[in-house]
Amino acid sequence: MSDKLRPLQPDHDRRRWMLAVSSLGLAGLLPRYLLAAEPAAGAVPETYTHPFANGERMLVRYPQKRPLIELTSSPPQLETPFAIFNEGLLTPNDAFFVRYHNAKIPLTINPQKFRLVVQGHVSTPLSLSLQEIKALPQVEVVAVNQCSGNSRGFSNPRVQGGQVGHGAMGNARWTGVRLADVLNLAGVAPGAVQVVLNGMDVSAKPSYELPPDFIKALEIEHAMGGEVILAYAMNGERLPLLNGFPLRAVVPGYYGTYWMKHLHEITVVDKPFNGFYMQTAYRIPDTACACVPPGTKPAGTLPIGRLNIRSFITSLSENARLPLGKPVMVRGICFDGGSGIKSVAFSADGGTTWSDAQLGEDLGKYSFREWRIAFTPAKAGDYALKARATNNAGQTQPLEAVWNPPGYMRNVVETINVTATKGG
Amino acid sequence: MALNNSTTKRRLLLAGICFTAIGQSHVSGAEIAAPATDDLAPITIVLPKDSSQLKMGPNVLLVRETCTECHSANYFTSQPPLDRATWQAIIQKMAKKFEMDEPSPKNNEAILEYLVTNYGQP
Repeated sequence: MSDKLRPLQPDHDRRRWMLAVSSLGLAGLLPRYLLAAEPAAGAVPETYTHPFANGERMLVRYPQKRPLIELTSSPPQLETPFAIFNEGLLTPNDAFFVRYHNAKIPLTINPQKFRLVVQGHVSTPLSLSLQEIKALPQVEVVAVNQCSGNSRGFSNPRVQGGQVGHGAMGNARWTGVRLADVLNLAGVAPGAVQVVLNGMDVSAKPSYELPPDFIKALEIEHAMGGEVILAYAMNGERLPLLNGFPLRAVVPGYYGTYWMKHLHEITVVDKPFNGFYMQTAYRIPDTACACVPPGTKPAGTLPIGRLNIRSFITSLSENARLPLGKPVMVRGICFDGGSGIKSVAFSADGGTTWSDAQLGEDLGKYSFREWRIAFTPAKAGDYALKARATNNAGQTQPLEAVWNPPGYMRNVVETINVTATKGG
Repeated sequence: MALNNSTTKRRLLLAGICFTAIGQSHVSGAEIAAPATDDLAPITIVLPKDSSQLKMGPNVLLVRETCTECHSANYFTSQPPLDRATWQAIIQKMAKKFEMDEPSPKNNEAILEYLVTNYGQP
């Protein structure tokens, strides 16, 4: 790999330059196109508290982001405050969650110097500029990116790992080119079995033998199938740096672990890739429910794959008060791994009786889909509201949570408790 | 009582200086971006200061030294209360899989004691 491919690490030269600029008071001499972010609204950080033990978090504003729930600072892991999912089907770029694995993430990126290398089991290895990539046919998909461990904090019993609530997901319109088109440019050689994706982020001590650099593999049929895209834009704008600028994989219907950010190296291989993040991490029990009895270990595992079906109530939050006898429109979102949503059932009595909700605009089978239903609390008191989605493959959400050791793939029917009172 | 923590001292130092220089709030990251109209314009960001806080207690400095070289402390302070065996397994995983220099048996015990006392199951 040439040095040119690694201009983007927070390297020492860059640091020295920034230090010189800062310490000499030369900030005013920075080129005119350099901008500073708006200062945060208040000097005192706000907090966000998840409803699980040790769930208090800071709301922190990162570059190109509004204040988000900070899970970790370095490398950054940021979660979308849940209320934002009620504001629209597309998650705004500045609210979109952020998840990194490697300690050293690129903090400086020059798209003009960026190159995507395509190598390995191909007839013509390539080093493509962004302009060359953008010359390929442009495609677009609206798709949910959800972290494998989204909602992990709700695992019971609790499990170690990133303790996120429901905000490690987002839905965006992704624009880019087909991975298949890029691979066809290079010419996949016979016998290829997987396509390995690597991003610019590197582990803390890259000289070590052990470091499990974050690298993922897609099966060759999947990579060549035409749905996986290499995106350079998100909701009509270039990607925020922390969401993978200048190029990221978009793997519709699959968990975010495959959506490689800062993608700069594609290697076609003729033997299955056995890196840490395929072989050891991001594996689920090989049972039908991807679950095991709580507290036990699975006998066998396999790499996590497609999203399972989920739904949420977004228009009401826990402990909301509703006016007695007045209709309220309850709304929410649902999604699955690509079968498409068939129906959403709503219950106001903790799951005893169910009514069909109305489905909203269809932005495609990989997108969030809105659902809504009118609900009138006829009696004063408490209501346990639930939504349960069913997809076109007949899959639905479990009424009781299932469990696995890494806390992946939670999709239980969630409950929002509200109280109806006279006058609300 | 909490102690401010950092990931890499250099990064924090740098961030601090940059924020001072360009007048950023301490809860905000700096963004040095070109106008969005130019797709090929370079971008540099500065991450906000690490907000991690470690509970004060015996061996907190050893823990900070050992456990925050590659990641911020909120990686472990945000965990649910974990039992001794789980914390020990995490230390082992960090040493065997994630580049942490393996602590001496004495230091391992001290780190474990800190984690169990401050972030363990009651």
